Amino acid sequence: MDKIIKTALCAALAVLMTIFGSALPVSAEGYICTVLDLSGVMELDEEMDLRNYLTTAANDIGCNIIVTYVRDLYGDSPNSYAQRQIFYYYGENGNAASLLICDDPAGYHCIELGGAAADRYSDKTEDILTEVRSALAADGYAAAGYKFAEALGAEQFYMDSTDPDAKTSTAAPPNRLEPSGSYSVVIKDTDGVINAEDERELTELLARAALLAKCNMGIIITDDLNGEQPRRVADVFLDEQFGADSDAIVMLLTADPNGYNWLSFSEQADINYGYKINDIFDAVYEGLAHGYVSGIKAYCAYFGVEKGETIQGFSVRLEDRDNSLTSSEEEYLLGLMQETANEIECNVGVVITDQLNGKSEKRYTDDFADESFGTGSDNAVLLLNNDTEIDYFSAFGKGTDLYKGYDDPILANVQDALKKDGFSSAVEAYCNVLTDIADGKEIEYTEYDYSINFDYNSERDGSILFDWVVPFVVGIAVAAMITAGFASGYRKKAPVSAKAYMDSGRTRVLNREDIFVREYTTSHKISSSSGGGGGSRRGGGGRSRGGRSGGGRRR
Amino acid sequence: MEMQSVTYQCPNCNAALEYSTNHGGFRCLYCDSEFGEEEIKKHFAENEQHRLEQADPALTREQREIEEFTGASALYSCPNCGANVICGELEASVRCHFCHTPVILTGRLSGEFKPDLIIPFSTTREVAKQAFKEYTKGKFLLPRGFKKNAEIVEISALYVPYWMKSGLVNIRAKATGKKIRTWRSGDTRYTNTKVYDVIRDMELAFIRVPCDGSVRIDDSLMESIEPFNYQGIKPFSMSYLSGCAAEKYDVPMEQAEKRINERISSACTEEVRKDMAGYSSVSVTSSEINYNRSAVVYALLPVWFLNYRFKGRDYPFVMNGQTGSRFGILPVSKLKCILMGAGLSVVIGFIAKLLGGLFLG
Repeated sequence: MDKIIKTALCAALAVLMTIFGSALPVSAEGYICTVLDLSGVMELDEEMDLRNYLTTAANDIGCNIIVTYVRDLYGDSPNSYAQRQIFYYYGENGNAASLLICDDPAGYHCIELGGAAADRYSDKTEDILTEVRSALAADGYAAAGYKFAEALGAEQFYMDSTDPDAKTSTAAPPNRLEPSGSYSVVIKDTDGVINAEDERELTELLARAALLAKCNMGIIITDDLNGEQPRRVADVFLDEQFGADSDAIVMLLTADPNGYNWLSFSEQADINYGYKINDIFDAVYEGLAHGYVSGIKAYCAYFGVEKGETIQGFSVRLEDRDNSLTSSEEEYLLGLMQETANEIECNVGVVITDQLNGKSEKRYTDDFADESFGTGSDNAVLLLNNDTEIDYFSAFGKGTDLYKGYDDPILANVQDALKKDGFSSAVEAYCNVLTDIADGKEIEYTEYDYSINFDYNSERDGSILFDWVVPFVVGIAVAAMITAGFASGYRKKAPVSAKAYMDSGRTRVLNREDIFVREYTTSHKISSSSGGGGGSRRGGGGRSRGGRSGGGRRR
Repeated sequence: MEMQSVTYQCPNCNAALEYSTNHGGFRCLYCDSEFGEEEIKKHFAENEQHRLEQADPALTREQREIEEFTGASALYSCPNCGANVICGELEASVRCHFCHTPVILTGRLSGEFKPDLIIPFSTTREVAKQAFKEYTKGKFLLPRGFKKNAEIVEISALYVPYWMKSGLVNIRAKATGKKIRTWRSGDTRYTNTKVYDVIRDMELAFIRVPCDGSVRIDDSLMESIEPFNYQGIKPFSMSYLSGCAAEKYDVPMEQAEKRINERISSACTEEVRKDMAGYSSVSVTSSEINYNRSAVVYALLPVWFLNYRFKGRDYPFVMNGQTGSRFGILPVSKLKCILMGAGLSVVIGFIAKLLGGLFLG
């Protein structure tokens, strides 16, 4: 009996320690941080300051911290890279949060978590990453590291470059991003090769591009560099027009036979776009084949400004990533979308894709909306998703005011049109239903039995079989086993083991060998959705991310 | 043929002495005199050995087989009343059917049947009865009316013959151990497996692992009231049998040893597996057990047998005569089983539905 009580007490103590121990930032050796500046983006003292802060932060929050800056992943996946950092430094199941700031063209910034950190932060990684990205864009690499720790819950030490009393980094921070995008654009046509009307149009397109690229933009067109190097001309123009510390891109287009076209980037713009310079020039040159105007339009298009798009009134964006629309359909739909956007006084976007690239439908749509119209803009965006076949509608600002709670009717109309007549009809139906709702009309649509869950947890068929029959069959099986167990105790008792007669004081281990034989690793893809069956919906509906609403629906 | 028998008589009045389970001594049935163990042993010491020596010489195997074949039983003459009484072939301690004097059949306790050790009874008949009542409490699957109608038919104290083996055991076990870890990167789950050959050599000591030496008594019944406390074990003396029934063994030592070896083997494997810690999974591929030293002894161990009758059927109940550990076969009500199963089904079904709703959304 004593043995039973002692065992029960030990078990209870172990449970309590597991529950509370994981919350205690206690370790015999303390928590540590690792800062790896593999890109050489920070000065030594800057790196040391960051490391000192992160060490304090790690003990503050009870979690090891790794921050890695890398320019080239050599084909490795960012998430694998970040995860491996945890294994290398803190072992399997190490309690650590790993941030990877990656400038590899095929990579992206990411956060991986291990051990207890995964339990604490796994549902906050997106938000933390958003804050880190903002800090990176606003104040640079070191700021991203500080913000990471702060977002994990450490005491604030974020270098706020607008606060005169705040500690500043040795690197000059670029301009802070303005949420609604108030960027400057300048087109300097020294030789008058573009007429006034084109220049006006190009200025508007360039302003749109500046908004999408989140930096100031300038274009110089000149036939004569006057013996200056194109780089110098562009750099001087950038400093003069936008300021030496501003975030800007300047493109020099010249017909000077001794010169060449040039792109100058400010420090931050260089981080964001410098590695894409060849792609930018490829696009520009394709346009330049048809003249400066086409070349500049192609330049704007590279940053997301679509052909035919205007920035008069409200913006529209139609992105067909799955080649589901013909050119003529795209042109027609863009016009229709523009009319709709002007009528509802809100930006309108549609994206068609067959690959969500690991993102949730909501995340994909929201990111598309931010990329297209900027964070904080009024918009209504539709995702036609040929990957998981869960279409999604997202709205922000005025879009939320107009369409909150209407995601189901909107998606129902779109999907009905899609089933009947294809993608073009679906987008057309989308525009029509947006207008009708804005006009206050009643919308007829086919209701589903279940609603799509905001978090996209696993699907359910919603049938009687799984709702009632399966649980009770499980109940009957378990009950039968329990009853049989009780009844068998009336007829038979487990025999006492011979261990009761063992003299444990004389037990000896004479030889112990553990010989390693081999090791192998297997992998399998984790499916992004489970269950199946069309027509099912999960619980949810309108929800917002700082003013955003939306919902999804399976076709 | 008539078997030699002996009774222990009161030094005061020559009436029969009985070993008292109450206070571990001897009591005279006639004058109520009480005597300690040592006192009686000393008083009868000269005679005990002489009696065992003078007892019928141990039968040869051939003679025993003839006796068994012809279903021979022993005929003895009661030392008290002189009556000729026939007893069963295994009984070694009985009561005279006529005068109820405890009689010990020395012939059944000599030679190869002479026990080495004995654990005297330390619980009484009343304790056994009470144990049965307590055992049936809280057993909600018992049929209706069990407590009222179950009738104790017989309670008897019996020294059960046991073979007990002690030994130093060497076990060499080989196993395949795997260490598995998984992690997720992006949308891929990785599983890393390390395979090891695990070898353990251990030496374990077992002290008196028992196996009952009676064919008619169910081994599983006896194993369910183990273990006995060997701190109470004593060298055999016939005096302890006075007043209690006893039987000689009819399971040969070799057969009992096989069963004991199986029990020891399971325990060794369990112990070795415990030492193979640190693996996600262990699969024992081979094990070899050798006995460095071993000894088998024959002992009489105390057990209360209680038979009760319910609805025309007899059920056994046994209690360890030393520790009080108990077990009995109880009837089960089918109706109550069905009701319990139905009730649990409903409750577990609802819980499964709720949990399924939580996880699946």
